[in-house]
Amino acid sequence: MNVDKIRLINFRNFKDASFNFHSSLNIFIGDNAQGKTNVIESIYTLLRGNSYRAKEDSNLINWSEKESYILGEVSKNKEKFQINILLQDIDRINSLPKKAKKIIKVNKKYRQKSWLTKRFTPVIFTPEDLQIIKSSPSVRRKFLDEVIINLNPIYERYLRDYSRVLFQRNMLLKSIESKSNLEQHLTVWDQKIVEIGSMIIRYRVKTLQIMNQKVKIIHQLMTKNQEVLKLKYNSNILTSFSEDNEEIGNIFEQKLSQAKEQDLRLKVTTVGPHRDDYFIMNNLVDLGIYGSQGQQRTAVLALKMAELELLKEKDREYPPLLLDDVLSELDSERRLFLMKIIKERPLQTFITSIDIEDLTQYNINSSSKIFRIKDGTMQNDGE
Amino acid sequence: MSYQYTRPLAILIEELAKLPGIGPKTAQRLALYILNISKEEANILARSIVNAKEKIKKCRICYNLTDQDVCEICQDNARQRDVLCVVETVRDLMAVEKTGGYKGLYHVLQGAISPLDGIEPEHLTIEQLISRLKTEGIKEVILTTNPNIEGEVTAAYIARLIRPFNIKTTRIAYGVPIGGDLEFADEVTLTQALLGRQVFKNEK
Repeated sequence: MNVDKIRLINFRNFKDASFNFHSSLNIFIGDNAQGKTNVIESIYTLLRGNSYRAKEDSNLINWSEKESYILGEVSKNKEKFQINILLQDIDRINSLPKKAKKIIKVNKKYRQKSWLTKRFTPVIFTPEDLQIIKSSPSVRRKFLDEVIINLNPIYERYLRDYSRVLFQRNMLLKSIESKSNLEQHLTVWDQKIVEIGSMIIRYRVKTLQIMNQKVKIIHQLMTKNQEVLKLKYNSNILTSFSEDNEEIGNIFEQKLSQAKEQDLRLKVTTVGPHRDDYFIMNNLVDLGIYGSQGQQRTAVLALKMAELELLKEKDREYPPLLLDDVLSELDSERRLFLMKIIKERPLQTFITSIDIEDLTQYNINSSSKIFRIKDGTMQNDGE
Repeated sequence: MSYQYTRPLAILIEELAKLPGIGPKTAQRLALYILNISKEEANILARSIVNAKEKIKKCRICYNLTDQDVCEICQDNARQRDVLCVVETVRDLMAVEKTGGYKGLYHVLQGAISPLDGIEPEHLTIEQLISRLKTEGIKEVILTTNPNIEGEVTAAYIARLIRPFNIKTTRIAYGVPIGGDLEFADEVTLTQALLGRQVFKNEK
């Protein structure tokens, strides 16, 4: 899958800029605060219908304008898609920015955001992603759940159903405090939470298993076989896993009834996949606790590359890879390996960097295009 | 200061705007329309509202709406009296009835279990359903609650209560709409439809 071109009108600090992308490596060079990340963001927005970092769509519109266009051409499995996204915030000059109106057209037809998200699944890596290792379990769950959704869109529905059941069960736990005869009604909610919850656990365990194979290979390449990265699901329900849904269900049910007193006291459901986590282990040591910055970065990158490989297996071609400010975070040796991995694959990559010098050593001239970004404008460096 | 409606008109608009699906603009349009019709017509409308409100009550047996003690469906001896279709609301009953394909009886639960809205099984007509099963010789209960979490949980709750009676209990199938294209069905529906697939019935 490739993003062939993009035109940005009033997008962030770009007044009007057009990019014809290379099918392999695209490098955006420029000083800080010139708009390199904005290009990465625009590509992501074109493919997903929303930004990965803006809280509101209206933040994407240039601050002195009322509307913004992202116009792009994308090809996937030999099919061409012309995607036009219009963001409008008519009143913003007179009042504070608010929710922007968003119109998405693909090949001149109106489409929902979900139309894009089901088809286009770019893999993005930003410095923020270090949080997957450093931060709370919820960040790790979110990353894994998003990988699963991209591989199996139906999983999104299961997640939604699960949070609904969880919410209803917690509401019931709260009302039991004043009306204790309601306690008998927990059973039916327990049944449902076990049914959907064990499905979610099964998806997660299975996906971690296949991710592990990919992660291991990539991580060994990047660390010259010196380190082994492994993901291990850490559930509050069970310690070892089979993929048997029924078995997971039985154990979940058991744990739920064991936790009943506690749930009633705290008025919240204390066991279930909504409290699960997974370890990211380097040579059998938990990276979140003991890893160095460099090890953590390498691990996140390996996770993202594993996602990329899984998506490739699903779609039979690589999705675009967006790397924002990654090079500056890796030492020169790991940088070299990353560039090598990218070069060896039929993969379209978008990468930002402050200067060109550290790129020349990677011998990339033949299959790349360099864009110099300065103050919201672009100068092409030639093919 | 903005223009204010004369008092009776303001009240009419205010009352109409309380109806579901009616915003202030539609309420204004309806109110002005009502002012334009003849006095008789207005009387008929007003009386029909009061009349419906006074006469219509819930069927003693199935909780459908009726102006009698027992609704037409429950009274109809031509219907199959040993099959019971359990629905959440009268609107759902009407939807099933519109198909013309169902000839059994109904039971209207008056909602679905939802702790969020403070609705527990006691607030529904589940107890009455169970006592019907004891007396009416029902052979099959079709659980036709909505295919969402609350509907599913309600169906599961009822199914558990029915189990001791050894009555055949079925749940409506989930599937792709007939006459539609498969490619337009969402993944969830299609997955459920595949899970609920049936043996192809060959012609004899």
